[in-house]
Amino acid sequence: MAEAPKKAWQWVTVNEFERPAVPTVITVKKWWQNFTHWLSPKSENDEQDEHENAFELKLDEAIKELDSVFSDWLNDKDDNSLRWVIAPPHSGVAEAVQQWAQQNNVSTMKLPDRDTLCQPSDPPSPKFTKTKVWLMPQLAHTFLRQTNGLRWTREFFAKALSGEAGKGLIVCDSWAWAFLEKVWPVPVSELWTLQGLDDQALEQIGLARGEGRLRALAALSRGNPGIAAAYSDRYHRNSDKAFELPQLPQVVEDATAFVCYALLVHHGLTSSQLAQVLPIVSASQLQIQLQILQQQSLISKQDTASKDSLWYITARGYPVVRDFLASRGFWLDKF
Amino acid sequence: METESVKNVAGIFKSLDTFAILEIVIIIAVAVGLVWLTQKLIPWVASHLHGKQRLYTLALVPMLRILILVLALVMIVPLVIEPTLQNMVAVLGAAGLAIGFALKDYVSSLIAGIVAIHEMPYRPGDWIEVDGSYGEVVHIGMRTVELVTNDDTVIWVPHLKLWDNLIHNANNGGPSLMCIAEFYTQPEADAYQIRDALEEVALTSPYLQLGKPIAVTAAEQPWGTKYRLKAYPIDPRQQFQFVTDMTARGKRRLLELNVKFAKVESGEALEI
Repeated sequence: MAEAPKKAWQWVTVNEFERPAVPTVITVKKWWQNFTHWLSPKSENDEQDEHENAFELKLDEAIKELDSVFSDWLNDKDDNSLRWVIAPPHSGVAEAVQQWAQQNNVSTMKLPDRDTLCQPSDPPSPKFTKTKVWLMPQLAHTFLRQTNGLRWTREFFAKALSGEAGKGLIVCDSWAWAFLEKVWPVPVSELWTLQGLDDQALEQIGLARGEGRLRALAALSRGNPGIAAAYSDRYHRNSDKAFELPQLPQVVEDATAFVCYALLVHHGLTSSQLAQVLPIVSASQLQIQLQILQQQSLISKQDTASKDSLWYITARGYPVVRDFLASRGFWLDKF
Repeated sequence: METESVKNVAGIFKSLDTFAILEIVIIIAVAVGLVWLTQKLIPWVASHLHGKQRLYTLALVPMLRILILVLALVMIVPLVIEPTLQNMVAVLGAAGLAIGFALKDYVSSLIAGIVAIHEMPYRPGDWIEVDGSYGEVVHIGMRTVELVTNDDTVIWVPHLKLWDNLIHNANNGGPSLMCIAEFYTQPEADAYQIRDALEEVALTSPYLQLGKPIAVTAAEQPWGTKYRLKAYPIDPRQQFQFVTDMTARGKRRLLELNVKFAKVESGEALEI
C-alpha cells in the first residue's frame, strides 16, 4: 500500500520539531559568501533588488490542521489545561492560531499597555475570563526587558500555571520564549509549534522548484514558512542564482546587536520602548542604529494605533540577524 | 695544546659555503616572515570573531610561532654543526655558561614562555592580573606577555613572573567571566527585597549571558550592608560596560524602593 504523502503543515510538540538538514555545499557557500563580503563589502544600496514580490502565505491548511490537533482539547469541558504555541518570527504561527481561535469563539485577552509597564507603580494585572477558554495572542507583547518590566508576565505565569486562570491557549514568539524560560523557569507541557518545512513541504506549497533550490531554501529559512516565502523565487524556477541576503552594516557595534536582539525578544518595539529597554545606549545612538539597520533592509517599521511606529526585524533580514547574534554569543531561540 | 683545543672547537662547526649561508638566510627569512604573517593575520581574523571562536583563534598565535621557530632551528642546526653527541654536549655546555652569566633572566623568560604555551595559564583573549595589573592578554611574545588595561595602557609582563607570582585568570580561555557590581546600603534596608531587585537588574541587562547564573550576596560592614551582584556578560570584553549598566540601573531601582545608601564621613573613611 502506497504511503500517504506527507502534509506540508503539521503541528508538533517543540521536542518533535525538526529543522531541515543543511547540505554541506550550502554551508561552504555561506562561508565563502561571508568571506567575500568581508573582503569587499557591497555598497549599502546593492541589496535593493526586485524581491518585493513576497509570496503571501495561505494559512488555511495550517488552521485546518490546528483544528484536528486542538479540537478535542477545546471541546473537553473537563480538561482545564493550557496549550502553549511557540511562534518563530514571521512563521505565520501566531496568525494561524488567532484565526483558529476566532473561528472557535475563543475570547482574546487584552494585552497590557507596554508603555506603562516599567512605571514604579503597580501595573495592571492580567484579566482572565475563567468561565470561557481564552487566548493570549502574543506573550512577547506583555513585557519589557527592564527592571519593573516583567511584573505583568510573571503574574501571568503564576496565575496561568497554578490553574487559577482556567483553560487557555498561549501564543509566544520563539525568541521571547527563550528569554521567558529564564524569567519563569518552570517547564511546561503541551508546548506546540509548526513543524519545520523541508524541501518537499516547500514544493507542496509552491515556494520553489528543483531539488537543489528547494533544499537551499529550506536550509536558509530553517523550515520557517514566512522566511521561505520572503525568499521565494517561484518566478525563477530552477534558478541557480544564490539568494541575495541583506548585508550587515560595515561597522557593527554592541549597540547594533542589542537593538536587533531587543526587537526579536519583544517581537517589535517602538523607539520609546527601545529607549526604555536599552538605557545604556544613548537616544541618538539608538536612532543611528535604527536608521543604519533600516537602510540595510534588516529592520522595518509598521504603523500602530499610537503615534510611534513599531520597529521589527524583516523576514528577509531575519536569517542574517540570527547568524549575527549567534556569532556574538547571544541566547538564541530553538528554531 | 691550545692550538689543538681550538682545532677541536673549530671541528664542531661545519665549514659554511655560500650555498649553506644562503640556505640559512632563506630559512631564517621564511621563518620570520611566517611568524610575522601569523601575528598579523590571525589577530585580524580574530578581531572579526566573538566569544569562543575569537579566543580559540587567538590561542593559535603563540603555538604556531613556537612550531615555526623549532622547525627553523631543526633545519639550521645540521647546516652549522655536525650533530654528533660530542658536538652537541660541547655546544650546549658553552651556551649554558653564557646563559648562566649574562642572559639568565632573558632565557628564563624564554623558557617560561614555552611553559606558558604548554600549561596555558594565560592565552590571548584572557583577562589576567599579575602583580596588581589587570588587563586583556593581546599578545604572547617569546619573552613577554602583552596586556592592555581598561584604560588602554599597554603592559609588558615578562614570562619570568610565571615562576614565582600568582597569576589570576578571570576567564581561563573561555567566554565566561564573572562580573560583580557592588552596592552599599544602610543596615535597616530589607535584604530580600534588595536581593530580588538586584537579580531583576542583572536579568534585564542587555549584556547578560542568559545561560549563566545570577547571584546576590550580602555582608555586614561597619558602615552598613554590602551587596554583591554577580553575573556573566556575553563577551568578557563587555565586563566594564556590564558592571556600569548593573550599577546605574541597580542604583535607580534601589532609589525607587526608597533604599538609603550607606555614606561614610571622610574622617571615618580614612580610618576604614
